[in-house]
Amino acid sequence: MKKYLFGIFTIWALTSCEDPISVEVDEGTIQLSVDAFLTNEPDKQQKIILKETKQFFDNVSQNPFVADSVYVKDDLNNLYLFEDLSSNGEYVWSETDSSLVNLNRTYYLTIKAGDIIYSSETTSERVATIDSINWEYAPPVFGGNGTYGTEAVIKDLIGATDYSWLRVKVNGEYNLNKGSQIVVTDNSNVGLSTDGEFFIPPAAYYFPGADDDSLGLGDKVTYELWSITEETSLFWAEVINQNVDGALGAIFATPTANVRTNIYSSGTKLSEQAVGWFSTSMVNTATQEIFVKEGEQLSFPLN
Amino acid sequence: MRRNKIQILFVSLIFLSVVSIAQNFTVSGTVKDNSNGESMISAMVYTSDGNYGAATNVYGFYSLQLPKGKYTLLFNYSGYEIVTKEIDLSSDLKLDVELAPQAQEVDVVVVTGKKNTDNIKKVEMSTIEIDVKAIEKIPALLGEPDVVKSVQLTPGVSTVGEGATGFNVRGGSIDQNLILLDEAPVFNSSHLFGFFSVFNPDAVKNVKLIKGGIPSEYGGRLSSVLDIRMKEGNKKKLAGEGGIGALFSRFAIEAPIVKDKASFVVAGRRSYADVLAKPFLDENFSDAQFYFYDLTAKVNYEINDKNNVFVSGYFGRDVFQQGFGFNWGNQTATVRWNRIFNDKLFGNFTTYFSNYDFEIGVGDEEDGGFNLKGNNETYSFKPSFNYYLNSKNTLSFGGQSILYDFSPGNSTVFLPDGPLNNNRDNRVGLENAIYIGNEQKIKKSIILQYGLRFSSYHYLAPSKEYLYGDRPDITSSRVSLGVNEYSTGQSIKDYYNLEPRFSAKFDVDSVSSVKLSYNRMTQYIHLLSNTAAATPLDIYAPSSNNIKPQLADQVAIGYFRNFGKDLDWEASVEAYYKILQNQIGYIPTADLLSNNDYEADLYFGEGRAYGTELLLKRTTGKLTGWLSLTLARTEIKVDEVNNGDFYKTRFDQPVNGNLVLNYEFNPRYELSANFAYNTGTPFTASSINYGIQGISVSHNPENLRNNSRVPDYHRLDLAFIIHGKEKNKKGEIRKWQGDWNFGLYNVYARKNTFTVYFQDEVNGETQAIRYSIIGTVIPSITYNFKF
Repeated sequence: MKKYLFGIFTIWALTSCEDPISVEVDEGTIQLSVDAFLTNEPDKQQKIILKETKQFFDNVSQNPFVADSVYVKDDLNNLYLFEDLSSNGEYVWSETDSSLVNLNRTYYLTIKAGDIIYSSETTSERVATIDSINWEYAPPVFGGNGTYGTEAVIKDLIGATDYSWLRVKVNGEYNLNKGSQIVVTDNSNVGLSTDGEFFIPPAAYYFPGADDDSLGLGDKVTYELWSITEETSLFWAEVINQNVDGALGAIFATPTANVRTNIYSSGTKLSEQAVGWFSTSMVNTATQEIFVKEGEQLSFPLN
Repeated sequence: MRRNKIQILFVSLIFLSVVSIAQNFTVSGTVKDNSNGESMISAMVYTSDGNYGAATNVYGFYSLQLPKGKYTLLFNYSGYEIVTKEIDLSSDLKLDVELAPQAQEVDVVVVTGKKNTDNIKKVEMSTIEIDVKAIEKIPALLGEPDVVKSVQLTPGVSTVGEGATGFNVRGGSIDQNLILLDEAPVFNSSHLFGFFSVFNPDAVKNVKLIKGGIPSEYGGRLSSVLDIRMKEGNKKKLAGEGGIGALFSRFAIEAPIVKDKASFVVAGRRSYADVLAKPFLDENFSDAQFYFYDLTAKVNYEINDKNNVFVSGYFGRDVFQQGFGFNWGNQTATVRWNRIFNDKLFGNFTTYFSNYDFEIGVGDEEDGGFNLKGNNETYSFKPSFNYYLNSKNTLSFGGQSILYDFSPGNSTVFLPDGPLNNNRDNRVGLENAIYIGNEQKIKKSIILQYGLRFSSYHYLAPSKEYLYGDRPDITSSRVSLGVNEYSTGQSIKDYYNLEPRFSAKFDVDSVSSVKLSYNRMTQYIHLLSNTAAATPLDIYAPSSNNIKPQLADQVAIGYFRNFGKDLDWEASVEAYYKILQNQIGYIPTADLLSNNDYEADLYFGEGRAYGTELLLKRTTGKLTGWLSLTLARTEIKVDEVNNGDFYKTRFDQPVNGNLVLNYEFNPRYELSANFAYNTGTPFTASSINYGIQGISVSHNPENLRNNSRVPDYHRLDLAFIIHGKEKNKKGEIRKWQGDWNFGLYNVYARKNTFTVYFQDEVNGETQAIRYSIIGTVIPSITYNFKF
């Protein structure tokens, strides 16, 4: 809706403007941030990133968080140790020839730092497969070159409610905009779910936004479908909700709300609490290079 | 116990005042404008010695009790010739008077003082009356005169910015203003997200804002009453007025139906930005529609000298459409019957219907479209009476019943298998009130106004009783415990409130007075909004088993003094303190739009607002205008937010000042300027961020609200007005009077901030981006005319 509003208020675009300013905000309390998204992908290094949160307007990298020990256990009592080999807060699991995450297991994360113990728990759920990726050329709307849009063909698994995080990579690069993250319940990302059916638009549809590069011939689009828990889907929904468009979208924007965390601290002080998330996923991936379909008429060549 | 004391005090005051008065005779009648037959509100009627006096009520009726004898009665209204009547009173006398407008408005009254000591002598305080003629002189956005924007230039009134719907009074939220158009409430006073108000100045007769010392006849909102009375329609001759501007044009026509007996007025406006913009829009937008319009109409009929009937209505709409549809609007209809029962008792019976509705939709039924509709309907009956008991006491009493039927939002998604409806339950409430008040002149220098309003509210089925338990944590929704249903009409929850009102005026000397007031107000319906500013999609929620009525207690004290050779300078300083109960806050992820359980997402707390307001104005002379300065604070305290400490509301503005000036070079040329300044409005900013899978997440670890401010707001506007020649070459008054208004809004192109949002990348650059809805100077030319 915000996009539509932006278009229609062209007349106000003549008078309105956006520019950077400095605002005064009291410094917030620094805490541990946990980025622990583990998968079943054997060829991908499994890591848990522990950093200190940073002041919003400090244009610096997050400082590494030094933990005494970081490990994950599963409900079969398998132990997975993570170590910060590069002293950069990225704690890695050294084994690379097997999958850490297995289906239908419960995983327990423990981080020890001095007297404080941070802990979390999650499960690994089943994931659907990506059948194929379709693409279609869309002519220019506001001038420019037009772009391709893509759609993955995915059928939800029959039975229990499935939650998934659908990530899109273009030429190997994730889209990291909050507003571009897609969380799917069964087959829909807009609350119209039906069990066991094909994903419905706009869930598996990727169309470059105003801030994104257009998709052209030769571009490779990768869909990654991550199984997540219901709790993790709510976490991502809250991250998406933090996205605020500029322009008149701002009129309809609600204040930025904190997102939840599933990292629990034994500490009692605010500075001893943690933010972030622990999740274990089964992942399916498909990649498609865009080429001209037989009989396809472009208004002019792309790329 | 406290209530009993108040009641005893009230009854005693009335009793004492009745027994202490000797036999008098009554002079009563109406005061009208002789050029158009319009009744005159607050015209003064007084004896030449100044010992007795009265003001006309909102229907132009007055009643004055005098001992037997000879008197010179003066009838006075600003901008009109004074009428003098010699009377020899030995029995009750009916005396209707018509006043003639002054031939030339040499001394333009900007904010109506009526008479240069009215502001001192009247018991009412915290009240602003703005003359509609003055509104046309104030520099305005795109040269369009605007009732609400003009009110915003007075002390104690503010807005959170351009693009914000409604206005805030003494730190109250926008729903705490009772906005009445011919007694019918208007739920959304804004066109185009607040750039213009819904009131067509061509159809408006009188604008009065009451911020404190609110009389007992008004109720239902905490912060203010904006009482807008429409013109009745010219009873003498056909007349019209209007304006042609860059964004919209307006036109009003009024004429007698039966001369001196019945008349009508019809006024309309329509914006045409879409028409003008069309050539510049991409062809994909060629079918775009974005406009607003409103139509205001009124008919009145004087059945006889004791009975008058008025029928009035308003219909307005904002439309934005292009591949999606978004529209909203108000409709009101009012029928009123005035009856003069006798020379002491004036009665008015009002019944009205008011509706506000919105609709937003994307796509259509064939291609998986979506639409959302909501509306608020209100029906009311309100009898009210003025009883002119004697020369020292004027009683007001009456009652009101209001039925609220709110449909907070029904959405439909058009799926291939058929439409999927998600309807939110209607909420119905019944508000009743009875009131009595008295204005008592203890002696010439002391006037009291006191009253009681007893209100009740009943949350009625078919509304449902939603039951909720505690929150799992302080930022989550309350847990649903189920829903109880009742048979239609059954009351689910009742509330009763006694609302005392009191004002007093004490003359210090002939040019100054001290006034004080106390009022308790109750509000049974609540606008739910957690966006940066209220939007047309916000819904009203009635009180229920979960939402208690809001209450406010306000005390105010003021010093009023006039000075200058002709007492043409008016100064006042007022201080107020307000305590508010059952104020509404929102959990961080509150879903108010598509959620039957929105009540589970609300917090409740207390509020406080306090401040000082200074007003200095000059009402006559070549240079007129006013300076207003408000120093104020508005805070709310909710257990779950900000560690349970008070925090600033979104409309907390510690400093708010306006300078409005008009200089009349000669009767044809005028220059107007206004300068507005206020502290930047608060907003909630994250203080921390961190990365998850390369995505930046904002965080506010202390859960603070409104912990930062946008930059201060300031703006200068100018207008140059050229009046057409009043007379033709033969020296006759021209029938057609035209004025040109050349305006510059935001002269120095200040980029005032509407809101701030953040662009952040983990381990990258973080920027605060201000969004200014108006970031440049906006010139305008408007041609206004009347005939």
